[in-house]
Amino acid sequence: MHVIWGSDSVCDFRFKFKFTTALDNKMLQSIRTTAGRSAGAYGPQLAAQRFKSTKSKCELESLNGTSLKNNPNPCRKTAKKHTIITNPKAQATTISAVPTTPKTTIPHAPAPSAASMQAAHTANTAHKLPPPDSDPTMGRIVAITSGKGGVGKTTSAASFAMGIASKSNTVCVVDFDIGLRNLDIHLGAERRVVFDFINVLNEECSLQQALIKDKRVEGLSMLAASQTKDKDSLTVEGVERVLNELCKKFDYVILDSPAGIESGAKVSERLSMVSSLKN
Amino acid sequence: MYFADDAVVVTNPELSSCRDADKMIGFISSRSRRAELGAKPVEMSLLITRYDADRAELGESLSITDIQELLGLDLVGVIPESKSILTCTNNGTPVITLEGKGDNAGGAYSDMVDRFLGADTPMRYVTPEEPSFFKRLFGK
Repeated sequence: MHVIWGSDSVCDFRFKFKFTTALDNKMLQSIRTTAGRSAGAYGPQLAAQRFKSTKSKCELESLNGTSLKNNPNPCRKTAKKHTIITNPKAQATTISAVPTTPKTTIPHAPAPSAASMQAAHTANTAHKLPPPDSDPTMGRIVAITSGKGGVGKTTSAASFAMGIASKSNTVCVVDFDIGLRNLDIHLGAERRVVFDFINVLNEECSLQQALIKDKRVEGLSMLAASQTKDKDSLTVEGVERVLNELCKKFDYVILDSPAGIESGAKVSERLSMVSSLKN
Repeated sequence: MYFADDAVVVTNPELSSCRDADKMIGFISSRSRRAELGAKPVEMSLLITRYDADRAELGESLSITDIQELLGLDLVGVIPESKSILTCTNNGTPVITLEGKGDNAGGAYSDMVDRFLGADTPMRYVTPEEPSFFKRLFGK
């Protein structure tokens, strides 16, 4: 028996529970009331935790889009969610280790691999950028680009970023010219670079550590490119995660693109490859 | 660039950089995330740098109208060729800091920022400077 139940309760957080086992009405009722109460009173995380502790066999899947929208502090919550839902191993063991109650029999027990895959998928969506124009609180990403090199992209990016920041906006300018960083020189911050974009991408440091504040204009920060790594270090998922974090912090995220279309083409290619793998 | 909401396409008034920019515009409109998701397309605008109004007048370089016809984008700014840009880069100060200090490029960048944020600022420094009275009197 498959019961799919969605609740748009107080905090607009939707859980979808799939019961793969046959459950009698009484048990279903008790689960409903538990979930309803905890989701209403304590918020989604606690509801999720409580659900784990009830040890009913259910796959818990949070629909990410709706949860992010009404979230007052998305950064913290997604981090928390990460620890709760996205530990595939733990979840798999919970599912397999739970002693079965006499009334429930499992004709088609969910394979741990399937559960972990789903958990991994949820982890990926937590770091993804929301669909364009869906969240007005997210900053805009402005790419400074040109096909040819040497036309003044970096010069323009530095001036443009400083101009926008001086109109009381918060701005982060990101040097995407991995391997040939220049933006720090234009902004006069070359001696302040300790961590760079690739360090953030590889999670060797936090984003906050890598951001360099401008000494002249309040609200302008810079993320330097790496001089030792090359463009191959960029991954679509990594870049998306960092941009997602940046968009939550800043009004404008200005990307100083490298010359040529090769790297961009590569990024798109990789993305199509990833999506085909997912399917 | 793949994740961009807006794009500022930078070009010089010369054919090779315009053609590369054209290719880039096609690339952004077809391969960006917004294009793939079917969302509102990336808002592109054109920034012309190193523009020399005198040479454009003489037909030695492409003019603003030529570039606009070629690329078909809204113009967000025209930055005149200026010697101070090199000095600024070496000093580590963005050119926009020279705004109001008698430098054309600084003012042009400041106008560009205003236009990007939605203001309707008229273009400056796009026509050749009128020779001053003394220059006219004594020649160059």
